[in-house]
Amino acid sequence: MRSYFSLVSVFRKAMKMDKPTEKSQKVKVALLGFIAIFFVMIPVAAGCGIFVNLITGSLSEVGKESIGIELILGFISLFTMVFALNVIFNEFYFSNDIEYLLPLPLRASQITGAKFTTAFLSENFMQFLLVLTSIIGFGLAYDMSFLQWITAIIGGFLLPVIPMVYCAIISLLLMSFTRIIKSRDTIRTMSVIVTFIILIALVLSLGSLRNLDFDNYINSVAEGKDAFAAIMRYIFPHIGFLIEAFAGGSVLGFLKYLGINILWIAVFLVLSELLYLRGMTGLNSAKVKESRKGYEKLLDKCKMKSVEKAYFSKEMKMLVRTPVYFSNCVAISFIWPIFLYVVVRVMNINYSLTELHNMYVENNSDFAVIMLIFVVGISIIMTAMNSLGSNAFSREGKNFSFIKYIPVSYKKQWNIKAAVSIVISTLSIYIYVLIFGIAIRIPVIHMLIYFVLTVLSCGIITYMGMLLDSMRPKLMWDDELSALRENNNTFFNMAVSILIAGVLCGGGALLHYMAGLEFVAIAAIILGVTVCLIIYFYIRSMTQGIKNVISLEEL
Amino acid sequence: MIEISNLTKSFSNEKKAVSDLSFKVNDGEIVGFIGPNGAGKTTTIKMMTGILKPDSGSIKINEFDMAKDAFEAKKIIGYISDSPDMFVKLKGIEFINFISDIYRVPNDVRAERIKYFAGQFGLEDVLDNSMQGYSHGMRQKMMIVAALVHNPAVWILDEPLTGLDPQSAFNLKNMMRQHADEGNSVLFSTHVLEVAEKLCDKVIIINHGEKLFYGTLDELKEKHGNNDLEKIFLEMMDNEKLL
Repeated sequence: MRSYFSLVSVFRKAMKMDKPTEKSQKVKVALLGFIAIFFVMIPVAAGCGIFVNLITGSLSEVGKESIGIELILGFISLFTMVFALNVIFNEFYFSNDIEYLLPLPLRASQITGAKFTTAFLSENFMQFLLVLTSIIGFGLAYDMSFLQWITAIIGGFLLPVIPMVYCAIISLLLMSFTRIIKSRDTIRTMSVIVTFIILIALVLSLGSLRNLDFDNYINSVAEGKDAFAAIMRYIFPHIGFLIEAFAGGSVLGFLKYLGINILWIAVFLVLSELLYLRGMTGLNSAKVKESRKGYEKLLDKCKMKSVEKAYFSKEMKMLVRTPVYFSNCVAISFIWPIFLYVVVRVMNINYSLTELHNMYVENNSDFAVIMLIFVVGISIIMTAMNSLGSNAFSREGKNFSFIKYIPVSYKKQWNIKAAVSIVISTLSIYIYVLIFGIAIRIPVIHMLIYFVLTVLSCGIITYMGMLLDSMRPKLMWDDELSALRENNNTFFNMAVSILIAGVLCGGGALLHYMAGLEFVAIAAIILGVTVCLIIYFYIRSMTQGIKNVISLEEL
Repeated sequence: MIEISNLTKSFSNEKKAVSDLSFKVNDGEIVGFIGPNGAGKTTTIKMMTGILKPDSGSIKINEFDMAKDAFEAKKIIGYISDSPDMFVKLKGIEFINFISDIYRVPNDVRAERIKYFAGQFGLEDVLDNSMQGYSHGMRQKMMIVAALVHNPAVWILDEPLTGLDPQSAFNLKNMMRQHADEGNSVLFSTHVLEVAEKLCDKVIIINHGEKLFYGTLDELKEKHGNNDLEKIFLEMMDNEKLL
């Protein structure tokens, strides 16, 4: 056990970002933390709590009060599983510390157990906040006793254990096939594909909820007729025991809940002993195929490119060829229409292209304004979500010094990195806007306005993200996923981006619906604000940002 | 030529990593940079290449002052860092081409130089592969090729022989000698004292960031009773402990 605790302690320390030392940085980090907590985390968590509270209150009359909390806990468990899969794969098999751990006299279950605990503790914060507020929402409507509160909080804290154990078992089983597949990169790509398949399946299953009538839906869940809730109960039977424990005040239910958690952990540890090292030994890095064939041709192709083109191309190659960066920074940017599809299905929006065209051209420009606000909002949120700007320096890791010793100005390097983010983000947004625009025959001038606003919105969030990352990049990491997941800059960038999106989109909506301004006026105002913002962030990047890079000495 | 004057560097208000260090690497010289782990060698090298900013003192690379003309100075430096795990997702040839583009290596000599270095280090058969599959030694060879492909006048090499096979190490040492003989300057850090003894015109020995010796090997031996470099170095470190 001592080895296990030592490992957990070491892994936890390796994950932490260094605290700022300078007073001005401490203030900035505290301010960003405040924005992230009060404008992102608390509103989302409070939303969950209010949702559960309202449903519990309205269903308590018919004795079905636990439906709301059951649904929320099911969703949280499912999302935990989706997001943990990639983390567990990386922690178990792809982090750089593995090669130092394997020769040590440690049992496989000690390594996987410690890595699992570390992942659990680091991934659990936001989930626990959501679970806690949901429990509070339920408890306030249901009037729970002290003991019920305690069981609910302990049970809620343990909720992600089983979804994460599922991920651990999937990774152990999948890695057992490394004797057949062998290539580290293939396995890594497979883990990313599996994660995406689960995510897309989840989103599409939500999309199947056509013409959502909430009362009918809750009734169907309560009667056990809803397929989604039925699947939840099947995959996560422990949620039923937990609800039995805190809603029903059943000690036996709580013991069953703890028992099923212990059972799954035991299964995971036994499988670790059987499969972990086996999976490891079959794993190789990319194979080097020695061949002099085509060597002369290779040399013939060595032609000089401009510094800008060469640097841009290098950045793109690194993003596309590193599976973690590809899935988290590139591919994620292109899947937002799937979520839009869910909204369209759930709201049962079913217009023909001609109807949409007519709505766009007529209808007091309502549709055009909504589209304008949507394009700006999605550009801001997706650029923040793909984190290409907010981890631009963190991605360099131990190679950060390269930026400093090559004869290329910091300004140029900064702008090329920004260009990579802006190009990918803009492409991932505008390609769909363009298809939609062509399909419903949106006027060319509007399409141009959307394009300019997409570029500007992506640019603002990119430069702001890079500015944040230049303050305190996470340069010491063991695997690429750590550069993204353990990087507070991404989170801070998202928080401020939500604020900016709120101001721009909310402001645009208010100007249209309250002040009666038309599309052109709103577009001009948003354009003016975004131009001012990008000029501000560009100047800050070229002055303070570059100073930050020069002064960074975590090498 | 490399000229270091009164260079000082400390991290987070702790003890000085480099303290008032001065030395010169003249054109035509190979200078070995020697010291135990944590002596301040890599910190000094990082300041010389522009990675770290000194607290005080100056660094001149040929006629360029690193504080004022860093851009020009960087163009004429060939630097090998202590870690060869750089941009491993690129193919070998892509990496060398990228570095060649950064340092503006013209088309008419690029292929010829890549061919020469690939031959010297036995890389011809693997250039079209991702560097992720390379061994540590192969990656180190790639770093050497990348550092030298633009034919820099000043070579600053941080433990360049680590991980190299005997043939490649031999070739690199010959290249260092030839480069210095052509009137250029070479500074390299090493823990292999036999190499320093055989290859260097001068050595700098530092410990705790302070210079213990700078001069020719003959001067060092004269001062320490004609022992070999290993014995002299160990004696000096022992004396340091006593102080």
